[in-house]
Order: sequence, then structure tokens, then C-alpha cells
Amino acid sequence: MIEKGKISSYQLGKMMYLAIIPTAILTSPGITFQYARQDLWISPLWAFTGVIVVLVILRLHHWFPGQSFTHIWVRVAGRTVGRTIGAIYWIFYLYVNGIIVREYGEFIVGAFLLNTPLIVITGSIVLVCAMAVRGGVEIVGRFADLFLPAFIVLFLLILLPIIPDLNIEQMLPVMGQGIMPSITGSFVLQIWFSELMTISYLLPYVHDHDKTGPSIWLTLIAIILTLLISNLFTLLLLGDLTGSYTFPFLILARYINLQDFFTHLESLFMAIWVLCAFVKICVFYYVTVLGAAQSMGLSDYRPIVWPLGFLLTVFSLWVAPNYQELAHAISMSVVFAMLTMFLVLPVFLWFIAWLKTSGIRRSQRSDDARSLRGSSQ
Amino acid sequence: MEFATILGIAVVLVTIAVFEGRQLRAHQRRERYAMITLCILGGILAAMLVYNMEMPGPTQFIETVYRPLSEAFEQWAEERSLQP
Repeated sequence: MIEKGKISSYQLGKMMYLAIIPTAILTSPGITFQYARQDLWISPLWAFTGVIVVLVILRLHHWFPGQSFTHIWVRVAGRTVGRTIGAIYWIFYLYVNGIIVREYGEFIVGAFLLNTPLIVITGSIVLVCAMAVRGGVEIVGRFADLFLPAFIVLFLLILLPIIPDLNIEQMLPVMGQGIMPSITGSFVLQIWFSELMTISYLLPYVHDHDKTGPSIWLTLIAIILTLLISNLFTLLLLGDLTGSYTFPFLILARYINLQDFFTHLESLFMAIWVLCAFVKICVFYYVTVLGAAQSMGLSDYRPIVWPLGFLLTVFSLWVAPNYQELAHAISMSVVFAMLTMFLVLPVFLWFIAWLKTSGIRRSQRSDDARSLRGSSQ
Repeated sequence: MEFATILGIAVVLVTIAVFEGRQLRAHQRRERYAMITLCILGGILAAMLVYNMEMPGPTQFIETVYRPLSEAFEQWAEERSLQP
């Protein structure tokens, strides 16, 4: 096996939580508001893709224990097809990670370091991530362990001081036009839920398999709750203005003012954002590197970490000439692309694998039945 | 200016290739080829971007592929929002 490190199920859960939440908190309220209006806080509850993806991936991993996504494709569809699809996947992960790095850079440049060139910010985060990724999955897992408490504390520190300023009337009427606006609004949210597909690459390195299922479901519930709370607070504070900001949650952090003494808490938000974006970029970077090494049949993934880091920096510039075009693409065509890659293809793989293994399982079941009959006699 | 950028890119890539190449053992030829191929790909892409920042990228490709779907969705969402 390429990777010798091991992580625990809860580390996997924490990694996935931190790999999904940061960009979701930042951009989702604004995009969801376009369709869902005052129901935007209901939208995270429609996590259909998350449920389907987790069910499918856990099932696949039950059938092929210790195999990563690329290897399952190779086992199911043959060597050539499997490796080609594995290659498409790592290139897609590189592209998605390019978008994430770009969003990170645009956010830091747009909100805090106004005069710094974008390439300096993206280049330095990729440099730091490359060092972590070269250390292996264990290092990334421990970073997630380390940063999750910090994230929760800082997140609460932003939410608690604005509770007195919330206006509960902003959320009325609840479901005024029925249930459909909130479901339409959840369309863009599905890309974050479908990112849970990434666990398929990390599951082979989990050492306590009995706890994997509960910890992944707990992660999904935690993601839904966090998005619900952040969307609700954004809505209750900003009301109809939610849709007019690119980063509504940042406005929340800027709004805090306790006794004219405790102000400018957006620096807290920046701290959250840098910590979480680091874990997020690391997870996607690691999966890119692992997928590339597996689909090229390498014995070690470490030699290609730095070249892929360079490619990642180039991709972060290449994805779009400016942020407006990128934001438009994220809210439309990229959603379909991610749903195809992270939802449709895994379900398709599950279907073929189900067809192929049903014969084996039938024979196993008759074996079980025979042994049961034997024990009862 | 452009020449200096290209030179910088080349320096970074050569540093990566030399640094990683020295850590590889002699029998890891496949890894060496993969590493050097990725470096060359990155170099070509970066050089092309230096000369033409607006070069069509993967996002344009994805937008072309999914145009029918995204147009259908936009129309559907618009029709929905017009309802009282």
C-alpha cells in the first residue's frame, strides 16, 4: 500500500467536517438566498446527496474493504477503464482544489490584505499544504484534530455576541410559498454534501472500522446543523440584504460591537477561515496526490507532491480570469460537474458492483443459511 | 517582465525536480518519469498563462458541456419565482 499511516474514524469525521464547512459558511448564504429567500435556513436540511453518497460509499467499502476509490474502479471495470477514470478523478480534484485555493486567495485579498498580489497568498498556502501533505494522511488528520476545537470556539465567539441584535421577524413567513423554494435553494448546497465522496479515498487508512459508520453520519449531521445555524443567524441579522453580499457571514463578524470596546471581530473570522481552509486544501490536495499515484501505479506518492502543488497554483489562476465569472460558474455549471463526478459516477459504480457481487452474496447467503440450520439442529 | 517570470517558473521547477530526484532510489524509474512529466506539464501551462492570461480554461469546458442543463435549471427557477 502506498500510504503507511493510519487515522481513526473520528479523525476522518473531523477532517471531512473541516473540509466542507469553511467555503460552505462563506458563500452559501448568499447563493441560497437567491432561490430560497427567507427559507434559506431550511435548505441545509435537504441533504439528499449527502445521504446517498455516504450510503453508497459505505456500502462499496463494505464490499471492497481496504480498497480506495481508484482500486474499486479497477476491480469492477478492469485495469484500463479503472485507471482512466482514476485519472479523470484526480484531475477533477485538482480543478476543484484550484477553485478552493482561488476562493481562499480572493477572500483574503478582498477582505483583509488589499494590496498583496493574489499569487503570493495562493502560493504560500499551497507551500504550507504541500509540507503537510508530504507528511501523509496522519499529519492531515492530526491538524484536523488540532483545529476543530479552535474552529468551534471562534465560531461561537462570532455567533453569541449578536444574539441580542437578531430580529426574529426576518424569518417570517416560514415556508410562505410552500416547501419548494427551500428545496430549489438547496441545489447549490448539494456540492458541499457531495464532497463527502472524498471519504472513499481515505477509508482504507482508517484503523477502527466498527466506528466508521456512526462517525460519518455524525459528521453529516454536524455539517447540516452548522450550515443551518450560520444561515439562520445571517438571515435574522441581515434579512433581505443577505443576497447582496458576496460573503454575508463576514458582515456578521464585522457587525459585532460590544460597548465600543470589543470590535473588528472579522479578524477572528479570518483566523477561522485560514485554519479551516488549510485543512480543506490539505484534504483535497492529499486526495489529488493519492489518486494520481494510484492511477499511475506508483509505489510512493511523495515524489509528485511538489509538482502537483505547482500545478495546483497554476490551476488556481487558470480556473477563471476574475472572481465574478468564477462565482457564476460555481452557482451553475460547476454544481452539475461536481454532482456528476461525486454523485452520479459513484452511484453508477455501486450499481455495477451490486450486479457483480449479487451472485457472490447469494451463494454466501445460502452458506449462512446452511450453517444456521446446522447450528439449530 | 515576461521573460523574468518564465525564468522564475523554470527555477522553481528545476529546484523541485532536483530536490525530489535526489531523494528517489535508482529503481524508482516510474516515479521519476511521473514527477518529471508533471513538472514539464506545470511549466508549459504556467508559461502559456504568462503570455495569455485569458486562455480558455477548464471552467469554460465545463460550462460548454453543461450548458443545456444549466439553462434548463435557470429557466425552471425563474418560472418558479414568478409565481405569486
